[in-house]
Amino acid sequence: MNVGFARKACVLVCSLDVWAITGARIVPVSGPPIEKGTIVVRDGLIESVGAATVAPADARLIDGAGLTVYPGLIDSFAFVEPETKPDGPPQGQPRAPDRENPPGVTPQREAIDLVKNDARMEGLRAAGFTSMLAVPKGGVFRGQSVLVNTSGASGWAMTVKSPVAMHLSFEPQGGFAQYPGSLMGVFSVIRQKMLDATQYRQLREQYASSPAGLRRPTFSREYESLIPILDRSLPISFEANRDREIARAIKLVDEFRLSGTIAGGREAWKVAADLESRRIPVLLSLNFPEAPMDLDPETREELKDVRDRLEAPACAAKLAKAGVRFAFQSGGIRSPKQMLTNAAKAIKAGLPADAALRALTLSPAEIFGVSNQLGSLEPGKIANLVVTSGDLFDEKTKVRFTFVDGERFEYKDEPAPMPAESAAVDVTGTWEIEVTTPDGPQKATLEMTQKGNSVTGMFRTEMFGSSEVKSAFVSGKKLTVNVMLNIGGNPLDITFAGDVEGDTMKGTSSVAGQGSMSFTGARKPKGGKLR
Amino acid sequence: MIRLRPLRAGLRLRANSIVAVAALAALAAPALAQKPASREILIRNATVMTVTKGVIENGSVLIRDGKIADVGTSVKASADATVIDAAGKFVTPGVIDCHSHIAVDGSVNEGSFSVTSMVRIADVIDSSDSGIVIGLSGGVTMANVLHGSANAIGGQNAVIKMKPNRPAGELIYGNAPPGIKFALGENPKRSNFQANPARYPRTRMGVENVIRDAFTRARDYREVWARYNADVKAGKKRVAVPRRDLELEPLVEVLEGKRLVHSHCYRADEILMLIRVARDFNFRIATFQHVLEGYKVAPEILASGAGASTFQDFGGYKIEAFDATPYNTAMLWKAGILVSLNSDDGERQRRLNTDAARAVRYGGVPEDEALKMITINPAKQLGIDRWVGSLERGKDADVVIWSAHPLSSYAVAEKVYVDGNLEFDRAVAIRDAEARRAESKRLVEQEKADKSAKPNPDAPRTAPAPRHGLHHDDACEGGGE
Repeated sequence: MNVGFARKACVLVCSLDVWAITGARIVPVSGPPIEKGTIVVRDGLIESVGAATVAPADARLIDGAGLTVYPGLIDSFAFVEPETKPDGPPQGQPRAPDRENPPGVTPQREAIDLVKNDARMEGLRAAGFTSMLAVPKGGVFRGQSVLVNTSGASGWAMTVKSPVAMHLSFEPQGGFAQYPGSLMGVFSVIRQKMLDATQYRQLREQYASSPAGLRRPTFSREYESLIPILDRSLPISFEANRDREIARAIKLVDEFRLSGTIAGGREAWKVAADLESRRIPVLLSLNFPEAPMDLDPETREELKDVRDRLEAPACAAKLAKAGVRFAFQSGGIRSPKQMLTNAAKAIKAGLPADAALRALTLSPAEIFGVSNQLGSLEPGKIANLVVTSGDLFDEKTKVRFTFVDGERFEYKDEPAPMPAESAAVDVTGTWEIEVTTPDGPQKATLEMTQKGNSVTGMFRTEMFGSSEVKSAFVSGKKLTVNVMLNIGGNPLDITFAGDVEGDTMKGTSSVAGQGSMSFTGARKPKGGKLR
Repeated sequence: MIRLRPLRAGLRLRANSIVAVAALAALAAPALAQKPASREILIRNATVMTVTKGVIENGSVLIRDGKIADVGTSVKASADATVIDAAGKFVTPGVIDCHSHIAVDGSVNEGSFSVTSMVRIADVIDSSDSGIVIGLSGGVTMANVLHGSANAIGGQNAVIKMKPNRPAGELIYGNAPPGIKFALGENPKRSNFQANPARYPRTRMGVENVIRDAFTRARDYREVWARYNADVKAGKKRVAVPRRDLELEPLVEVLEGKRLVHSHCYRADEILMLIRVARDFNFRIATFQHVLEGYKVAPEILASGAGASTFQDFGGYKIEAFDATPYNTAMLWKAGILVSLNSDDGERQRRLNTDAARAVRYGGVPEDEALKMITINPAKQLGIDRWVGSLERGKDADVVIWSAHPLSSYAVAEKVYVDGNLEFDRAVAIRDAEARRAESKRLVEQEKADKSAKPNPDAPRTAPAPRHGLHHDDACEGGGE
């Protein structure tokens, strides 16, 4: 990259908030890709973009040769929850069911109060996601969502639009003794609340027009927040995956004349005509179902269950064909990178790649009513962009830069450490590793094959799964192994550095950014138990 | 003679000679687009048991556009009609199950309150429930899908046509007047189950009180709205609109005779209790369900105008069911009560024809009367006998072709039409089941062979859903679901 000279010059004349990415492949989404162009970011906005665009004199330059610039990606549905749960009933005292105020009815709850610029946002940015629709977790009337950018001084500073929609689920809120304890009960709760809000609106309007002679209606935050739903000024989003669940949501949309949205939508293709005719968009989950883990090999799976997971990745292509508007959402996937992996599955199942990109950028922006601010690379729009090493949906592609509101984040590959001297030991074999942790010893297994200095293999743990060895080499009698574990969606970067002596080794294992611990290792004899 | 070529469409079975060839060619493609019913289907050379107009030997039934176009010995069909030679077979109207819990998503009980009239079975119909196909395999074409019996006043019912895998709205029978489930005795007072927190009532006295209280509230509610509507009509401007109450609205409909009451009951005393309550509040009970001690109070049931929908031969499973007798059916019938036989169970449902035969065996109900108990009688109890329940011109083409006399233990339903659509064909269903197993195996192997798929630790897992189709009383009312 030819940044060096420009950066030196910049010290004197460049503004910190002006960037120009030059000579890059630019995919604006709103128009055809520009094979070689420049995009200028100034004060948090896109200033100009095009093949003929010239970097202004005050811009800091990024050499975009070999890089691709996309609009920042949008996760169109992800839960946020309060850190502390609201006070529940005292332990051991079951609460009587409540017909008037059933649990899980919190339409007044706003996600804007729940988001912050935390590690999750950092993870999203690193994968190229610059916006997220945050939805309050839990309940039937879950509350109101907020569209945030994935960086900012506070939740409010990150906010692009709030509220975006009112979110509902069809989840029963208790067992037999609670209301609503059944799916049927959920529908009764929804209907009754909509009717109560309707009455409230009528009383309020009547009182507002002329209060004399009328009792003042009791102010209700709950019903105040439902009035925009009844007025269709705020869309209502139903979480629904099965065709029949979606049909039930559509029935409510029709019954109460709502502006509806479906979130989830796994079987939306089966009811595509009903969605299309009502212009109901789908926030389509990329969290496709997979085969049960540890299924008894004797178990014969029902055809419908097998079809369920085979058909899910093809839903997007079918919706696109049927003219149903949709945007992709994480649907509970915690690793943002996995979202792109799964989007690639949707492409493999027939969705054109440009449609997949649109479903992560301009389509959600349109559905959320912010397409004049976000979703494409156009002058005047918010400078949310992702700069990659190649095609977004290629597994090998890496994010190089992410811009959120014009703020630049750079991502570098760590250079692979090189062995200093030739190998004096051969570590080929299966090693039992024991790490001394504050919680006691932790066991793991390293299976390694050595050729010259370089070592390949597998790292296996009982609690945290397995992973291929990311990089490993032998230098003299020293072994260095780097592995990357995925623990609950969070990558854990571990490096083992050990001195090998025959069939044993000892050394330190360090977790990136978290210090180190000592470990010992012993090689298993072939086909036998440990010596 | 053109023989019907059955075609395969997953679980959907349609007879349509025009597309039959193409469909057979596409045997491996499971989800065919839905085909309209054949314009005409002629079933001929059969013993046609019309139920209401006698038995016709060597008779024919003509189906056109989903309706029965003609029944008789000299029925004329158009040249392109699909003709089914049913020589040696018996044709009856579809069986109607007056008490079922199949095809419901989630619990059939909203157990929270003793009055849950606000919940609706129609909201949660699941047409993919295998219970529908199982029922069809026993000739059942309609079911009264009821809320469970955990509450003195339970939820609203849905009368459905047995149409597997179709949108729920297509199953719900629009001609049926709305209904509601009541329940008396051990289940609503939760005698056999732990409730936490304990729910009122805990006694039979309490059950009566809950029902009286609910109807008293419903009367008040009706009054509030009547006053408001009168005020608005009189031009008054300063009146506040009352709250709409989804719990009480269906009870007002009961008071106004617009909603049918189907009450789960066993003991004679509780039956008499509900008759008194209904008299006091001036509503009619459409059916007593189960009504195992009905024989003890048959004159009172008859006088109340209620029908009886009973288990033919099932009792002793709980204390309040100890006085059951298989002669109950015959005794109720002899007393002049409108009697139907129900299943309350996803398995017994496909054997209702056998239950009808048992009514002949225990107490000597005449064969034609026994057949009525699973066809026209439940249709009358559900207020839909103008459209279904017998083979008559103009009625819905819900038609069953049986391999033998339907009251024979050897009879199986071979072909079952619902609204003129062939929804069940035994031969095809057997072949289909094998094909599905093979297809499932093939797809799983194909899936396993694809190593490119990176595992996603957060993925929802497809898992065989637990069966919840079998819902006879004590299996279902514990609230475990």
